[in-house]
Amino acid sequence: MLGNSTYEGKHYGVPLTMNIVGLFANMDLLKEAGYDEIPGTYEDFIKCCDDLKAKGITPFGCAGKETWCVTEYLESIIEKSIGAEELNNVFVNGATWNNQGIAKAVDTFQEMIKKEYFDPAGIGLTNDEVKANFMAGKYAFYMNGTWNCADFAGNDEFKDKVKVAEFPVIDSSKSKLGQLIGGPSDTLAVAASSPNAERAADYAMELGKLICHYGYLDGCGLPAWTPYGDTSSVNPLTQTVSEIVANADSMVLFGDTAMTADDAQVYLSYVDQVYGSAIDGAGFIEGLASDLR
Amino acid sequence: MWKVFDMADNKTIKRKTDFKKGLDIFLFLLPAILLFVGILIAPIAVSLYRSLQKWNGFSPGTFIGFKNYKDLFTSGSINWMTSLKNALIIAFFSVFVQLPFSLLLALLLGRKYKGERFFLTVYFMPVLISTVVIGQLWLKIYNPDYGILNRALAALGLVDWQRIWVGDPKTALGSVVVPTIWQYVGYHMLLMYAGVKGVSPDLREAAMLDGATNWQVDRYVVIPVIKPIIRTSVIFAVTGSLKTYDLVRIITNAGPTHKTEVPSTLLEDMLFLRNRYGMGSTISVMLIILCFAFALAITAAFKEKEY
Repeated sequence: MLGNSTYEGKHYGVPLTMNIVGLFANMDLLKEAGYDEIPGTYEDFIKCCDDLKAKGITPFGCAGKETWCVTEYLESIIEKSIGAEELNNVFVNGATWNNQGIAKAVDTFQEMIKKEYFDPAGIGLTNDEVKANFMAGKYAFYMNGTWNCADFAGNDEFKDKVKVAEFPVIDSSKSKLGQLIGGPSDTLAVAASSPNAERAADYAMELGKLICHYGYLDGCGLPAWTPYGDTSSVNPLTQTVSEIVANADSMVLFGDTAMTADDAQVYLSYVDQVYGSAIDGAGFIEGLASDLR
Repeated sequence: MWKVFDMADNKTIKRKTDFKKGLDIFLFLLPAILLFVGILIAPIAVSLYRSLQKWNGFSPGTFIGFKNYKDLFTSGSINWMTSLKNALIIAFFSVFVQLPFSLLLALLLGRKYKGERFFLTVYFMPVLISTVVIGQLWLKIYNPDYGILNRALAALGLVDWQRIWVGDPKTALGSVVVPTIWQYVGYHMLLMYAGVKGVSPDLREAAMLDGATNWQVDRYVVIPVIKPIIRTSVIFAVTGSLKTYDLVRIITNAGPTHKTEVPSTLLEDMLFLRNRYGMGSTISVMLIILCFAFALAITAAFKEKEY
């Protein structure tokens, strides 16, 4: 979990917070389609999307103007198709991108786009616009970081309509519930060359813990450190996410965070092309295998 | 003997005076030279030097010769050719749509119609508005749900014409071109208007006395006189299009799928998102070369037409 701040076995950063990708649902819209809970299996989930569409409700909104938002969907689908370990190996351990499982998962994602589960206008919208649309009841589902819990829970009109869950498993022979996308990616670090580096490091450690604690209380993220004191005031959405994480089996850090800056942008460029249907699963893995390795 | 000595003395005095004069000129020019070198020549020289390196902006760079230049044209993950093509398309529309329209407005306002000042202000207003505001304004116009463009098309019964303007690869670049042209029409109009107002009334009157119509006066008297200003406008339009950035970043964010990438957005991505400062420097050098080349070519083209 601390892979993003670990180098040659040593930790170099103090985590400030951590987040995972959550499947947020507008329960009012799901109820219109006859669902009281977010479906737990992939088959039921797809049926739910079809039922929503039949009722004239768009299942998903995804901001194409900010490609990281597309990865929130794509990476979850890949992970629940090939498993966390295999995806992690590709992201950080040098395994080849030329992975048929990834190609198949990309095709699954594009199949959802072809079936018009996604708002077609999303490709030209920012994340703020898509999020506002979700809160306004335009989409039934919104997959994004759990830092959104604070905004959702803080909106009096919306807080009682929204629930959060984990994306269902697509291939149970390779993946399972509890395999999540996310982890502590934001850290504080101190340059060894800075004056009074040790004191600064001690301060960074305490500051990291405090930001983490109050961020958790405000619902802006999950605790990367063990929470202390009374945490009963934490909003119900964040508490649900905490339970999901507490039962987690493994986590794969967000792809664009796990990779180097240069690799991440190449990766995002291919994700962008997938969302725009400019390439398919085969084109995605071949392109990345050729450009990144 | 006495005369020779006198001449030599005069020469020495003249040399000293010349030297002092030269020194004075140099000292007076020095601040401007330092500024010019410091803020223009030195950064270009550093960019040129860095463009020959693989450099992530932090660690020391590695000299790699012209590899960045080669990669710029051959790498699949760098959309240089797409970005250049888009910039040239924007330049084309700027020169062949924006400038003629600006010229038309300048010529009309130059005829001293009633309300000249009012229209001058109205047409120039978009230049005064922040580009971010203009970008946001046009985003609202293009919005597929509540945007006035799709609403107007629906009201006219043209539902089939409705688009996701900034998200459709076929219309995304056009959705950037339109506000770009709209924003700077007033700028070029003002340049040309100043030129039109500078045309001697005697020339106009002489042509009118010979029976020329308003359009003939504009065509055969005013336009030839303001040709140097038109040339300047063309240079500004083309080099401005090559460097275009702000509206692209706001309206399409260079998407969808990099279809509206322009050199400046690519440059920013290389520098600040991909930490490829060597490649970023290569793009900036290419931009400088292109801007100079186009400026020289446009100047040459206008000179030829003057003969």
